[in-house]
Amino acid sequence: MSETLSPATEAESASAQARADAPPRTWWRRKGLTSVISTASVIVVLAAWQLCASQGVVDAKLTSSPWGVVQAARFLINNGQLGTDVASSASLFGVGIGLAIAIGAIGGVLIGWWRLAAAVFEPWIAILYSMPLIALLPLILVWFGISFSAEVVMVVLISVFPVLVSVITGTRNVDKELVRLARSFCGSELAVIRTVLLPSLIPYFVAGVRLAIGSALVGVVVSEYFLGNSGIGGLIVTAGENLQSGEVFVGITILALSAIIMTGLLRRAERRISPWRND
Amino acid sequence: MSATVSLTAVGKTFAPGARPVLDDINLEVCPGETVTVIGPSGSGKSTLLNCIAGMEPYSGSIAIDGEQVRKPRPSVAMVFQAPHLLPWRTAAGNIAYGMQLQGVVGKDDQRKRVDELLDLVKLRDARDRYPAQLSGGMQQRVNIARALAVRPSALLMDEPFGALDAISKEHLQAELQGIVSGQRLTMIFITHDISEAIFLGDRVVVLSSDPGRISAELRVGQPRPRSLEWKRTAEFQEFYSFLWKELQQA
Repeated sequence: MSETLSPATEAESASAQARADAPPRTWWRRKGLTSVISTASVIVVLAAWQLCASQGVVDAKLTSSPWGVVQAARFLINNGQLGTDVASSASLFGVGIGLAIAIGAIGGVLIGWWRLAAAVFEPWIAILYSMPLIALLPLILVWFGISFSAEVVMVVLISVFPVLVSVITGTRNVDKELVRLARSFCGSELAVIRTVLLPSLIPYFVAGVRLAIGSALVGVVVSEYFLGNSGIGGLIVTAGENLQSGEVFVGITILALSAIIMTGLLRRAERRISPWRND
Repeated sequence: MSATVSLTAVGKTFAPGARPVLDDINLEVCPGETVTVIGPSGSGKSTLLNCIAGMEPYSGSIAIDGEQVRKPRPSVAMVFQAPHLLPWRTAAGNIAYGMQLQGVVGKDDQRKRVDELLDLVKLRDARDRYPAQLSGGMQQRVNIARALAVRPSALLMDEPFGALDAISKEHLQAELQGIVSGQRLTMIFITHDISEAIFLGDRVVVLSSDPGRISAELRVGQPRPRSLEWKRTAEFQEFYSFLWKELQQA
């Protein structure tokens, strides 16, 4: 049998390592121009907006302009309002999404793993997830008054479901064969959850959190509109009522940027904690 | 120490009232012996193995070293048909997995054992690679190493080479003998490949289908480890045609 004792050669794994690295088909993608084109797209739209506003094609009073937005931002920074608003929205967002992620992740694993928990909670998830939760706002107002806790409740309600539903799906989709394997090695229930379920949940968890970021921002703005008239949401509403379009856009820009930045950070964090997925 | 596995009147029915998948299986596997079980698909080969592993309820009696099997036990390791490696663990991490679940081996001993096994299955260079970076044959070696790492006294293998190409398969069959020879293992090996069954088994058991019953048994006298040349001998061919005929009736 000596001639069969071949070490696992590089060649044996070559096919496994050769990933589908086919060159892109269009010339601009081959040249790596995708990001250049995307950047140009944003610049062109901003320039067109500026041009239309300064040439009087549209009423700058109503539409503002990129430069007008910059000036409005400067004004709001200098009088200190922007700092206060951002801090207030950020703390609401942080507390809200933090609770939503914790509840969604833990609840999702429990509901996905144990059928009894699923039987108990799933009808409520189905009802709440499919209805526009903003409809609950008046009730929250009645129960919690105009307060920080009322705002937090709204944010949690609106952002918990993406995490919860995604983690439930991930838990149900866990590789049953890996679970069997762990049990064949006498793994306890807790060990199976820790070594098989949790690592395989990472992509589902991240997808849920990504959606939750967007939902939580909606929750922040909505509850600030209606429950406190504070923070970025309050800024936008007040500026709109005073026909300060520039200030409205400052608020919108901050919301958009923070969503983009958080999603980007999340993607980077995911890649760091899952090095086995080389994509 | 290698284990004795005794099956007495083992039966298995999935739904009450349904036809049994396994019926009246009697089999005694001696310490250090390799028994290969061959049968057409649907003959309940895998089910039989799952019962022996304590992963499924059954009727009758299955005893390992005189003790009734009711749930998985640390002294029995299972190698599944697909490698089922944890994608988030490297080759070394996967080999250590079984030991970690059983929690009997200290960290340092774990590392030493992993290195031993990486050498044994000739994957030392692949130590830190993730499963996605390993070929099918390499993954299956990790799978086997993971099972051996817990120092089982019995190894249950469920068509572990079924998904491999003919050449990798022959290599691994030959290697498996070398790997196992130093370990004093009792082995039950499921396959639907006649020549694999003869090549690896001290005894070949034919399982008929619907219901799964032992319909024939063949003792292969050739001492192990065996060379691939032995496969080309008249003796081997005789075994092959005997089993082929038995399978036609199974």
